[in-house]
Amino acid sequence: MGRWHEVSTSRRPIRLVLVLGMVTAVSILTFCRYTGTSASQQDVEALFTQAYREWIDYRSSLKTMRSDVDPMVAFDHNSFRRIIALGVPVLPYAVAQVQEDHVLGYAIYKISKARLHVRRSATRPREYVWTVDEFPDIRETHGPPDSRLLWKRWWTEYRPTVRARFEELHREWRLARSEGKSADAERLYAAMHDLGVLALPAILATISTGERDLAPLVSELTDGALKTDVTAEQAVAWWAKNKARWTLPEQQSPAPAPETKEETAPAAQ
Amino acid sequence: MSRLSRRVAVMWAGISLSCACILAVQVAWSCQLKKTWSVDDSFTVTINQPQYGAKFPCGAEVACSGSATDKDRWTTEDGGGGTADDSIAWYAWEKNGGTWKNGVSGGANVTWIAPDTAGLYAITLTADDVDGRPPGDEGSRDDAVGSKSVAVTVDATPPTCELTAPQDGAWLKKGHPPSGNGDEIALRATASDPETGIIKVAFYVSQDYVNWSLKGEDTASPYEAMWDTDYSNTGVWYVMAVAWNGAGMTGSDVHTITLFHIDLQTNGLRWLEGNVQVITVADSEEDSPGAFIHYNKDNDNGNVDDEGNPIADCTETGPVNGENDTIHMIMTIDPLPTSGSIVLSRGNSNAKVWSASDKGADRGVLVGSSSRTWNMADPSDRANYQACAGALWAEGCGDGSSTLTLTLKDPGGGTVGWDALLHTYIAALCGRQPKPAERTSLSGSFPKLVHCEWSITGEATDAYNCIAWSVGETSWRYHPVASVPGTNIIGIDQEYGNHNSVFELDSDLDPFYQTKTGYTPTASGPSDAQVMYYSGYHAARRKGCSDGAGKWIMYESKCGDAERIEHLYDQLDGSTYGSRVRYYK
Repeated sequence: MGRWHEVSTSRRPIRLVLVLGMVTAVSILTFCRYTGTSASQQDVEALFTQAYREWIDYRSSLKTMRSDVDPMVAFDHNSFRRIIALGVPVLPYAVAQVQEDHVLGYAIYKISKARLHVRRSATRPREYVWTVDEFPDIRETHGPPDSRLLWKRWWTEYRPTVRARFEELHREWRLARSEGKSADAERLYAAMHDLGVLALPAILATISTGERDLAPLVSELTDGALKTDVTAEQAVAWWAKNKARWTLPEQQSPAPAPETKEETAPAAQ
Repeated sequence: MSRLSRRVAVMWAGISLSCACILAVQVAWSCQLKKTWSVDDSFTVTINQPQYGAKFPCGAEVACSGSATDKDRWTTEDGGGGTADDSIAWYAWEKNGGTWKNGVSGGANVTWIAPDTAGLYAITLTADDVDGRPPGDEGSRDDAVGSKSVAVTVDATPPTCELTAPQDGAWLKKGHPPSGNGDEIALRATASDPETGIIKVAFYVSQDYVNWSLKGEDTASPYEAMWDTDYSNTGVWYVMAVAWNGAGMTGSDVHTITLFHIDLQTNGLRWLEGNVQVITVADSEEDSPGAFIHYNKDNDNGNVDDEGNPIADCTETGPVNGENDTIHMIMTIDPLPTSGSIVLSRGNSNAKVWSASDKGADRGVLVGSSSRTWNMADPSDRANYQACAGALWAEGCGDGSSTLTLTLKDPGGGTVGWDALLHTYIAALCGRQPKPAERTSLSGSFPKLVHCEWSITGEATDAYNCIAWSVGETSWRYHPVASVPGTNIIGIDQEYGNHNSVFELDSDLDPFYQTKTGYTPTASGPSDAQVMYYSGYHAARRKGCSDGAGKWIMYESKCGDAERIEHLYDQLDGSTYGSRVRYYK
């Protein structure tokens, strides 16, 4: 104690700062725990807000009277690339914002790599019908379905089913391969790919059982972040180290109840 | 045979031949029958000229011509018969007045000189035939003499003729095209001739009293013709009426008038007749009244309120720095009168007129008063008019319309004519007025946009574009070819067309509109279309603004990522969007 005291006497200001810092940190962690928002997730939201604002400014600066300019010009900006780089954790904010700004849907598309299959039937105008494989109840006769609606449903309806969809597709894929049905296997592989990055936890879980044949799928969904020739153990180790970028917060830690999060969101701001 | 006997034989033969010839002649003579002639009753005398009832002035040389014909009948003892023309032996003319030219009164053609005394005169032609009966015939072919008379009137007094319109010395307004639009000048006259009556009255005009141009003839009272002055020179003209009586005598009357061109013109004017748009209407094309120009109900000099909206400056006296929406106006009275008066008036206070584009306290022409009169007999007032004539600026203030009228009055105070422009506000009420930067930006891309003829109906955003708005959507962008995954940026070729990566009107755009709205490219033009498509990938949607702009064909365009504007149907034509190539309804 004496030493602590001496030490403490001679380092009283530093000690005070440390104590206050600890109290603050505990408070923040407690708050975040209560609100269900991790410190890093708060950063993601702030970073997204900042980048999105810059991107909007950039898009405004592109103002042109013409309607046939290359639409991809709007996405050729550092701010948009920063949004993409935020990865899967930004999706909750992007999905919310896309309801106001459908152009942002391309960011969700790029991040999630989810492919919803919209198809137009008939060949004559006024007989066209647009349907969506993933949402069979959608049937549009005047044009493709609104992307904002699709992302909303993807988020609320489709996302919870991704794991089950993957497991089913995976089972069928293995069967097709074992039966030598390469065409079916190829189609099923593509279908697993189209589930997007939200399927990564399930894919890695499968790989952890020793099925390293799915490593190329992980590599494709992560833009090559994982090499295709890794062992199952290497893949699992990689995932443990990098999954924060490829998973939603609730997939990283015990997920808070969404209602709690929404209720406390204003306080977090 | 002896020589003697031969001579006797020849002699005997000659005697026999002679006897035979005599006998043959006697037989032939005895075969032709003798005719018996009668004169019949077909001897006819005709006077070709002058005709019965003809009228001539005293001393007129009247050509007289006549003819006679005769046919006689014959019969024979054996019941035969027929007719034959007889010859005319002589013609003789008689009159009860006047003289024969050169004293010649015989022959089929003579000339009668009418007497100096008016009256009814008779001219008679007498003729006789010859007895053309062949020798041996019986009967007679010698008719009694025949004659024919005509009565003619000799007129001693020319007709009277009085030009009743236009009045001598009158000031008249020159007409304007098109011809037959009711602005012709009426030429009227009275004429009379108690002796031979009026045949016709003709109207002529001339500027030099030498070369006369016929404007019309009238044969019945009231005598009238119309003078179309659309393309006539201004200035002094002579108007003449000429009356002809039955004897060919004339009476005339001449008036001197002055023809004025009266015109109130404005730059930026659009002529609504037949939807013809003319930025500056030439005098020859202007209809009057009824020419519309817009005015800005919300004049702006760049001042904006807290929200950036323009602040009306029409109540400011000025000079207003940056004023740019007063409209240049020109008064034309040609020739410039040195008497009488010129009046510029307004229908109501919705319009003001200044003598400077930026206004000014001492530059109000029609600001506090409803009319301004220049006394052209006063040199200083005349000079003031001349200074103002080409330098007037009209300004709008308030909702509604106002008529500006230029009137010329003659020295007696009578109205010679007038020309009017109907000012009406436009477009401004359908959207908001553009802020200065917006005006600069959009007018730069679309030079035909005339300030206050367009307004902003939607703010700038890249959430939707022109094609989307043409079908009433605000959350979609339609690109010609390419879609962007995950967004509402849709490629028309890809989603609605044949997906060949080439944007085509028939196979891509038509299916798009047909699917979206049921429209087909069957409209004939802006007036009946719901959507107009431009060659530069732009579409405009019909705008149903029923306010001031309702007088115009209005469309609404989302201009790319920029603002959505309401505009006249043709104001986006140009290099940015190209030309209108398809009309959907």
